[in-house]
Amino acid sequence: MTIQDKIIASILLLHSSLGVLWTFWVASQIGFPPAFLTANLSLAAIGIASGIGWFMRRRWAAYLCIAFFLIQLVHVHTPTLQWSFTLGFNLNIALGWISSGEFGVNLFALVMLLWSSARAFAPNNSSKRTRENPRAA
Amino acid sequence: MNSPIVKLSAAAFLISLSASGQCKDLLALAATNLTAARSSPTIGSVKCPANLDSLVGMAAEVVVSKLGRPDLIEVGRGEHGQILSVQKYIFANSSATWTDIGVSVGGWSVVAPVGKPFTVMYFFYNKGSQIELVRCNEG
Repeated sequence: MTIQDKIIASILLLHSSLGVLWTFWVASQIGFPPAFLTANLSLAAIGIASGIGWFMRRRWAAYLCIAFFLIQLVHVHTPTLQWSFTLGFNLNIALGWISSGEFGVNLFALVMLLWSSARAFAPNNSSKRTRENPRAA
Repeated sequence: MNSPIVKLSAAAFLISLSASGQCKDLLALAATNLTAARSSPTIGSVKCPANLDSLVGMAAEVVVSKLGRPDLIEVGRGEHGQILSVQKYIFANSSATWTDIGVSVGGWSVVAPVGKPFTVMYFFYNKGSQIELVRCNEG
């Protein structure tokens, strides 16, 4: 496992674990709305599973990681749709119009998405598939 | 009947009536400015109303009934670090474009006009949907 893989796995675990605390902290101040809790805790669970899987060099962890950051990548605020997930950590840049709303990108998620994808599909990546093919050896 | 307590209560009632009237005037002025800015063919500077702090404690429904739905809603922080819902009104016509840069939810966030500057009013609501803080950035 390279240092880069260790850093990615650590960021996933740290971001998700702090995200759980952040979710409960925010929820406690806005009256524990079930939809907010369910959505954010599910996202945090994906991040934690991905971080653990990445440390164990499992292939599925890369797909969970990509999903984790893809969900946080786009931020949409329109009168009909509100899509914004951060788990409390983001760097958003958005462009807005009164008639259509605001559309943004989370630069932190974008960088992490590109970095983790590059590592996941790198030729020297040592991640294992969950089920080894017994005839492959 | 003319005890000091009765007099004080009457004075407090009159002050609260006057404050409530002032709040309604402030919101009515903001609503007029917002309508004018929306229907104006060009984006121009709108002056921020004075004494915005007198709106503190007002219910969100009253603001929405006067100003309509906000242009932007996001999570922000109050002066003591508490989580608040931030509702923003853009005082400009539909050609207005802006960039919104935010670092971490509840942290630093700024709306910056692209092109001509415009005024933005920020209402910070607590979990009881009452105004905790009002800010206005003049364009």
